[in-house]
Amino acid sequence: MLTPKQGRWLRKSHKWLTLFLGAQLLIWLISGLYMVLMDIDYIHGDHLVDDSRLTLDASQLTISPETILSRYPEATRLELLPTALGPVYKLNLTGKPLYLSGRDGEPLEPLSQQAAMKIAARLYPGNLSGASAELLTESTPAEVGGRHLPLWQINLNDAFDSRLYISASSGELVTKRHDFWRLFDVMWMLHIMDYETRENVHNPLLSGFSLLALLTALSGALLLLIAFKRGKEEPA
Amino acid sequence: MRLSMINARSLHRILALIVGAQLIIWTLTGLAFNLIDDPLLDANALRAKPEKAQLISPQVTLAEITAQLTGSGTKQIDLKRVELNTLLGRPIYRIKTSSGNHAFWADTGEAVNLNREQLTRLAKQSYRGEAIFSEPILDEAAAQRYGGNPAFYRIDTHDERHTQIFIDGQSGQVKAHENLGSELKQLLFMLHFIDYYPDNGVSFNHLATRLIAFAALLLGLSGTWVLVRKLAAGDYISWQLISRASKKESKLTLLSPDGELLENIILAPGNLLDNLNHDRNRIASQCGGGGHCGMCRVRFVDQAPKATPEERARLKEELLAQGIRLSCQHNGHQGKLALTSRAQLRYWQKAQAEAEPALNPAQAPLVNESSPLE
Ligand code: FES
Repeated sequence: MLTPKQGRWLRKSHKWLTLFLGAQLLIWLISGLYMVLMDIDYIHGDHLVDDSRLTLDASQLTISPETILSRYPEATRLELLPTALGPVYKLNLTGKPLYLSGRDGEPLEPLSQQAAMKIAARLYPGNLSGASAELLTESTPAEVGGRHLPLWQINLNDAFDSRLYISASSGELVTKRHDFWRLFDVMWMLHIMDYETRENVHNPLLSGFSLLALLTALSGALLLLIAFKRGKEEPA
Repeated sequence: MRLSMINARSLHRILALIVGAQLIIWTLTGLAFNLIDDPLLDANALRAKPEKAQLISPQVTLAEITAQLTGSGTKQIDLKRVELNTLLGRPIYRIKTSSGNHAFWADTGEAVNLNREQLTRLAKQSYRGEAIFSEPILDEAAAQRYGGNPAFYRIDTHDERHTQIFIDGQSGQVKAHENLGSELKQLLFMLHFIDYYPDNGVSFNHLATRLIAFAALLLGLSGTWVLVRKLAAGDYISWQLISRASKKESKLTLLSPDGELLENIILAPGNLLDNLNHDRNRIASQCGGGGHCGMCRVRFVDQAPKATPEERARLKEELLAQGIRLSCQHNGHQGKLALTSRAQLRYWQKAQAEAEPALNPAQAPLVNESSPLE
């Protein structure tokens, strides 16, 4: 067991550690709780997209993979994808992908606003009447990440500011975002204490705080050895 | 309101008992994620990128393959995605349908079902460096983990990282590499996420995880409450004491239960119990100043401070009325304090005897004499 001196010392350590770390400890607990409470599929926005109805319609496929391959023999991979605008061939050539229409084998035209909305309507299970579309050509929004330009941003204009991002060159869904995802992203940032890139878990700030948090937890655990002790009811 | 304040500390204690171990696990595993370099935990440390080969023209058309697919089943099959690729130097179709994934050799039209030699060749292709490869081993647990077909194989290499290669024999895909590092990572995730059934992937949306995270937050909030109360009470910094200390030394006078003078003690910042015990153990305590054991009680002879929630929980109303308080719950106090029992007096005497052996080698000082400090 602990001597009175050790007990006092532990209590003091715990008291001062929690004073300095308190805010971050609470942030860890709150952000952690948010992340485990929110269903990760919901956060990913699975409710915003239902592609189960999206299938390859063989009748629309007027040009066969063999024909495509004979035109582009240097391709290393060929895919056939269903889109709301009909089947699309995706070819891996040296470096970047090439998208061809499954109807005529011609490279896809950049997606018009109308076509982008048509694709969104096919993917989104709800009503799109309040939605608006914006073509992004300059920079990819931070919430998308990577390089996907040009990109159609479909704003569903719902209560959670949900958005679908559709590649203007292929018509493929790039990603979907909503306010709970954005909050999740902030929580993750707070949890790993990387306020710039939001992805570096190896930052020294986190090392320092985690180490002190470990000491806090250990001092607290040791205090449990004496925390429930009771003296005699009425000392004689 | 008062009741909830008492509960803040008890709640903190009880919750710590429940989630304390997990808090240590969280901080330890968090620290491990922070400190261990990514390459050490990387499952694909020795994985080779697939070579990009020019596609080989298929001998069997997609139309023939889909005819074969729909012919074999009774119900209509929807095509979701088709891929033409190269596997082990042969063209291969991979087809995703509403009923599952299928793979066919595009030169013969046969369904893919890799034999041992092919599996081993594929494993070697996906691996950088030299190693000895085991025979392919059917691995059902891995099939479940990676959502693969029943013909799911594991191939062990005997390298120093114990790399294992997982191949779906019916799609011809190298599904994953695993090694000691990735197993450690898996273990860290399992502990951090309280996910003790990681066979279906790493998940943190379990009921257990949620409940423990909620209890932990309550622990944090109750702790915050105690902390804020201590701050307000001047337990961290007491301006009163600091300003008093700058003017002149302040002392407290300790009396026996009967009101006889025992000694004068010079006050330092900090709580009363720490002051009383700072150079010797004058007052017994079991909980180390937690306001729970009740052993550190003293009687304020003049004006007693307002009782804290801990004291109202621990001390009877009549004791409070007599000015009895827990010394660990109050700041240094200028004035007179009395011990409350014979037992406490004996404890004090013992401390004096231990501290002043030269003055009183044989016996404890008499109670009614002035203390040597006087
Ligand atoms: S030391 Fe236990 S109540 Fe004060």
